Amino acid sequence: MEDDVIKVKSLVKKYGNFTAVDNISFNIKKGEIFAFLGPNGAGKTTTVEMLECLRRATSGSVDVLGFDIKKDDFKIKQRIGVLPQDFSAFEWLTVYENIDYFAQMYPKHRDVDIIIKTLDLKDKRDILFRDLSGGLKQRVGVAISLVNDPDMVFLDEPSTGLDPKARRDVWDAIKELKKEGKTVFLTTHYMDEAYHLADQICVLHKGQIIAEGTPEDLINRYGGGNTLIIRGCSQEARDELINAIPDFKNEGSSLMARLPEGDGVTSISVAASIINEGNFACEEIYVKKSTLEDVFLNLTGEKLVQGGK
Amino acid sequence: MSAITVDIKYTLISFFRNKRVVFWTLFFPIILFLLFGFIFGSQSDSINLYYQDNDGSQVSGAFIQALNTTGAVELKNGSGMDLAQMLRDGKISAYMEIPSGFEKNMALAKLQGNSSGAGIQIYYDKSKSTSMAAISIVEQVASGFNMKTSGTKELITVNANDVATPGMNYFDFLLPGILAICIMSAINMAVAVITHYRDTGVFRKLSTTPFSSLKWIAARIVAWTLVVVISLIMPLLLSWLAFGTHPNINLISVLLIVAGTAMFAGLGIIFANYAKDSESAVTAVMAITFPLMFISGTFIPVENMPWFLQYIANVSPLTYLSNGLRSSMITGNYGDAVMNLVIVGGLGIILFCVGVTVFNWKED
Ligand SMILES: Nc1ncnc2c1ncn2[C@@H]1O[C@H](COP(=O)(O)OP(=O)(O)O)[C@@H](O)[C@H]1O
Ligand SMILES: [Mg+2]
Repeated sequence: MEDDVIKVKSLVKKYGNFTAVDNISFNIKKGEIFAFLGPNGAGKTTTVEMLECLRRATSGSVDVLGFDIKKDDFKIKQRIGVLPQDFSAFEWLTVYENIDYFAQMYPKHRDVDIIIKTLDLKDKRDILFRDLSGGLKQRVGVAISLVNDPDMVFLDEPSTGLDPKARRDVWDAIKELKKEGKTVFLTTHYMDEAYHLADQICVLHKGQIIAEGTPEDLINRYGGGNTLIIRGCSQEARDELINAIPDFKNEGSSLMARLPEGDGVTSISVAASIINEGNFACEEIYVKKSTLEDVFLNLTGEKLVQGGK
Repeated sequence: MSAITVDIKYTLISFFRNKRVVFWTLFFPIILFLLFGFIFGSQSDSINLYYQDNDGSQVSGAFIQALNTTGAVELKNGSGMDLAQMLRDGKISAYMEIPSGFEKNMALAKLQGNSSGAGIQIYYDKSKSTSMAAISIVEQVASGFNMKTSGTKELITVNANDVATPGMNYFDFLLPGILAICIMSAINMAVAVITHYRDTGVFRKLSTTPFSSLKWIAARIVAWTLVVVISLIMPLLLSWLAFGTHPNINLISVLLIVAGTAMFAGLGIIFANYAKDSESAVTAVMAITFPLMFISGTFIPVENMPWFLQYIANVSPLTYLSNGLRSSMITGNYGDAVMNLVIVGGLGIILFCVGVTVFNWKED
């Protein structure tokens, strides 16, 4: 397609006998936030770094902004911005100096103070990098990825290891990139990050793409549907409800039922009328949407974040 | 501004902001200088003294016997050897010559009260810390001898002949050693920076910019050389102000400083490149540089060390750097200085080129 800024076909990366990236293909549209969602070791960094011309692909073809990574890496470098995984800028330089350092590496670069303003770092301009909080450090990293006014920005796990507040800060910065018209390639192992930010998600597992689509798409297709939950019901009520809707399962004093895709309303209204007519006392009735976490669990039988927090 | 000058500028700004690093860069050399100056400067360990007894008389034999019984010197009979040449070659630090007619002159002096007496010649190399001790021991034995045979009259006179520049003390000897150790710290700087930038993704980031790894090394070698020069300032000042040393800063010594920095920086780049992680790189460098710091003719002359340490000293690049600096800055032995410069310069070019070749900030 014409507006695809990245076209990846049958990309493979082997480390010795180990296949880290196993024959993947995908396209990224101009102006979208594209996310690679997958657990540690899935092959996210390996893929991204091949696209950044940092690692050599074993086989396959990659086209970045119309250039071939094998032949035109110098041209690609001029037009992409990169935030590597676990990046930390120079401790003893200020925010301004750090951005300026990387800006001056390019023959043509943006005005550093404009970048600082864009990323809302104005009051931190002259603070040493080492004195910044984790979230601000990552913001500076994002700012550094913008110095050459790139068309395409790669952010490798930009919010890993940050507290929830700091992560929100980073998310705001990423949304700012989209507003500026950049195409963003984001990798993450946080499903909420992908859900919150991405227009398009590829779920990566053991080097392979196991699902692809918009967040809603993925949830609808692989989330296993929505769940109707009725909490705090008497024994009587529960018997009646299970009679009427055999999908209900008992969980203590609560009932849960997977709603059939596209037809949840019927079950909900049936349940509501039973409660109404029998004058049963139930604490609450609600529908729980499935998440990308469920998508990953359903697709792989594994949890996305090991151990969880 | 070019990317190289930007990198140099910000590297130096970072250096000066990090007060802890600035402090150690400035004061570590001073601490070493004073510590070793006072430890080794006052120490007298076994001193080899070669001698030639051209008189072969009873008295000369008795004098040598008296020297021997002090236990302070290890006497070595050098008859038939070209001791003058050995001294010039730096193989020995001093030798004593008892001229023929020694016994006769002494008897004459005793009879006539002639104050000129019988002379003993000592030839020494002031760049060797032990030569001073050897002279003072001979002088003491001579005055003891005078006491015994004549009361107060100076029957035996000791003439110390400096074969190079006069007035060398241990601090003069030590200064070039300290400077060489400062230059060796380029290896630590290279390893620390490279492993740190690898861990923090700075290299991965830079490799996505038009900046090249070759230019980065070019920028850093300039910055490291400047930091090395800064670290040399304090020991130079101290030795000049406090110990009256007048180090001679000439073209050879400047070239030695630059070549030495390149040599050790090259070694550091190679180390950092092959080490699995930053910790093992830093440990490996410490394990190698720490012993070399002591045995490379920096604190003690190589020839005063046990033979097995001398072997190690001979393959230590620091030995050639410190000897070269000593010859060019203190003793003025320019032949020796140039020879050491050739070795250090050659190693510097080779190691730096190998370092640049193996250095790669890209992933595989
Ligand atoms: N340089 C390398 N040599 C060998 N194996 C590697 C190398 N880099 C990554 N791997 C392996 O490739 C797999 C994918 O790694 P990576 O791309 O870093 O995953 P992610 O970024 O998704 O966590 C992992 O199993 C990792 O151990
Ligand atoms: Mg990764």
